[in-house]
Amino acid sequence: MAIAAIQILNTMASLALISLGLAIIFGMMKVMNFAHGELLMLGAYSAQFANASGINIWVAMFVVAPLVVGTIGVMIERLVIRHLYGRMMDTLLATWGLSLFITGAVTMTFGNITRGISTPLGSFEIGGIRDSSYKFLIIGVTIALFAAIYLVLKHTKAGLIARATMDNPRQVAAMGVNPGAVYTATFAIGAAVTGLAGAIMAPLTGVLPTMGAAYIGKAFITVICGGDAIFAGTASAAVLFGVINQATTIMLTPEFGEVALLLGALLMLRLLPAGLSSLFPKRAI
Amino acid sequence: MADGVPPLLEARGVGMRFGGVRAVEDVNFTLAEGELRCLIGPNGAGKSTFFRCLTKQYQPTSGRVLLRGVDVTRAATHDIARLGVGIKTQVPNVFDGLTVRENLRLAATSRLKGRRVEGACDEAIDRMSLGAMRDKRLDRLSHGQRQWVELAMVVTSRPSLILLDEPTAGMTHAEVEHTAALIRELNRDAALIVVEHDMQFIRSIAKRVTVFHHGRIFAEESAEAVLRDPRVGEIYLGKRNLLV
Amino acid sequence: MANPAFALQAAAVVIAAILIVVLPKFLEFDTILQISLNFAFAILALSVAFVWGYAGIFSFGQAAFFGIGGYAYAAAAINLGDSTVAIALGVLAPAAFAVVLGYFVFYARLSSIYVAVITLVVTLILYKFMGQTAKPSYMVGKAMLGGYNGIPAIPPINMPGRPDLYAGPNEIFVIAGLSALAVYVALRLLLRSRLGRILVGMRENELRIELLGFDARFYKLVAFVIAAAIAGLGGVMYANWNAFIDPHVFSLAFSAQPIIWTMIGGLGTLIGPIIGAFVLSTLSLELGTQQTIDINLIMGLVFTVFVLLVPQGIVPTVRKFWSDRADARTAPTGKEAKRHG
Repeated sequence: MAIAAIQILNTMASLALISLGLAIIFGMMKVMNFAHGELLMLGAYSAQFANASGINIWVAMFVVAPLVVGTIGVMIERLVIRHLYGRMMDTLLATWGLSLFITGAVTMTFGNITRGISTPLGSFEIGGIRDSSYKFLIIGVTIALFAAIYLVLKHTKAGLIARATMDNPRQVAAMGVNPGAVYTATFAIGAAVTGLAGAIMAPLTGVLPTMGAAYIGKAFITVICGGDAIFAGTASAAVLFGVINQATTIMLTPEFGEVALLLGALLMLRLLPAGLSSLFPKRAI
Repeated sequence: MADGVPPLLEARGVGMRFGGVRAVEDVNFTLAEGELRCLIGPNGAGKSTFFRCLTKQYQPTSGRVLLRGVDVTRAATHDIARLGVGIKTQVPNVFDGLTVRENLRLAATSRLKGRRVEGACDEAIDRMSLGAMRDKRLDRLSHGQRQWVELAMVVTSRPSLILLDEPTAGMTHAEVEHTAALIRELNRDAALIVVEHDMQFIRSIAKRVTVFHHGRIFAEESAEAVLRDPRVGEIYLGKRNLLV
Repeated sequence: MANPAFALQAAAVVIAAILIVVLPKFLEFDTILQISLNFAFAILALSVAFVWGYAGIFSFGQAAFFGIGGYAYAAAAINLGDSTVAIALGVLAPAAFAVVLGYFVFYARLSSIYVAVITLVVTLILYKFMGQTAKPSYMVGKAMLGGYNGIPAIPPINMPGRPDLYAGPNEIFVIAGLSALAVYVALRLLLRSRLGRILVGMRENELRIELLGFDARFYKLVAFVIAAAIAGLGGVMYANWNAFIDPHVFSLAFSAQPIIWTMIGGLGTLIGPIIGAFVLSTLSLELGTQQTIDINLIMGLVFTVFVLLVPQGIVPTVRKFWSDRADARTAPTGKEAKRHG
């Protein structure tokens, strides 16, 4: 029973973790980043490469990966996204072109082979059933990240500025803040969070150039069903879809789990086109 | 309503809330067949919001809207249009990438089929003097011209009720006069609700005027009475000189 | 309708038809195969050209409908032994799928971004799902779905009722080519019709089309289903091309192709995406064989640059260039009209 609880928490946490970066960028900037899967992948590769080069696995995951992907995020925002503000469809297309480009670049650099990172932390045992202790890490990191993002957005000056810029860039500019810098920083943070997520998930899935494709379906569903509220929406969507996914996977197969996610999403959007966020008070984060 | 025929348009207790903001509150409004009414009021008074409750661009959060006695409160925009209502929005909503002719053709298609579409199209082009522009793309026309084409589109579908939101915005003086003449002509066959700011224009077309203020109806009088009413001048705060 | 232009177009269609029928005699076997594949891709491109360029609906799922059509044809042909019903199923199965998906998506009035995301997710899920159908329990009648290995030995199209008279590569070439031509002509006629005009109007300004009394949700669904049927037909041709189909048609890489062909060939035209399909699929095949630079890298780079610089695609940009120059020549009249208008 406890194992089952941990497994379901793990599913929910994984979903929330891989979706948070996308939710930040979509919720704050209304940009649907189709290169999201590739940012996850780059995070995984950064961690794997750093670790293989001798850097401690934890530093590789928690420092190297976010830094690298965050920096790449800055480049993407400056070179591509910036020129397409207000053009949502074009931004989607351009980020999608980027996703192909990045996949190709990584394939050329690292080859189309799967690399591995061994799962640190070993295993634990409850009531005679063993499971990976790594799941605790995922759950813990997800909670910590969500808490951090929530606190920053709600209780810091930077978070206030970010939210104000998303609401009314001109007003904010008149107050002396550079909206462009806010956008770049927001995208970079979203990217960094995604890089971290990719690095953390890497030991479970293996690292290869096309690994992004395995995740993005779930991440997109979680984010669009979550709606505008970054924290509340994503968290509640992750909980809901975590349950659906886990239940269906146990009863049938993981692939049916994904089908169930999609069907659930379609039904939910028919009832709540603005996502789960519409169930929360208007100004929820 | 003495003979039991319902009015053309009726709003009962219509309200529109956005979160905590009550943009429109408890509006009771009646329009008879063939009547021409202007909606005026300062910015933020709720007249455009109320307008959108009628066109169903917004779903009123309270109250009911009836069209010839039929409850259309929950109807969609295309339903209202199908019931014989022609709508011109505040910002011109036209088919930018298409020519004037193609725009009008689409407007005519909604009511007519086959050959009669072209006929209606030609008729509208003549009536509205659009001949020289007929093959020009809408995004190459001036703002006033686009408003004019949008009016033509509304007219083409021969509606019995026409809703116009600031039809003269961005027009030259001559264009405004043309529009006034057009509206008077349209009023022979259709009822109209016109949201406007331009007092001169209102004076040249209006019979009854409904004044909005803070989301409610402040006054409903004949055009001359409104223009002379000092309270109306006050709510405009500083636009008094326009009323002289 | 300007009669000279119409006659010219009709003539071009007839010439194209004749060419398609006659060419196989003069071409090498490899070329025949290559062009047959391009015909199948052209049909897929036309489905994107229609639903995106004309109806304004951005769907990542056209390749998915292509794949569903191919799989439906394969399963039906293997089970029935005759291709006629199989072809119909290849067209109707994706259309049915589109009715259901489209209902949920368009009647919820989801924004175009959400539509894009959902159609992408559907494709991804189909890829994973079809990929894991390797177990023998995954059978449709006599046809094994085969998982990532796909379905081999798909029976080719035969004369209705005569399974012994089946199509070889030359016949497939002609059938695929004439199908592509037929789809092109049908779309041209559709776009001229009342429905076609409404769809274009909807693309231009959805609010205004509703203000004129047309239910945009319904028309989006109609366009979506028509496009799915067209893509399905392309899938049928594809299944015939190599007598084989596998889940790679649902892959991200393949889903990208018709989008890229349309974007670069010319969004907003019918002929542009066809050209895009022919040129780019052939190119990517050539480039795919060389090992120096990864094909995705090139495609991605070209595509992103295109979005940034030339959002309309090549053909409309060239068209606009010429029409701008034509306008410039008649400028004085234009200015007078504005003064009087």
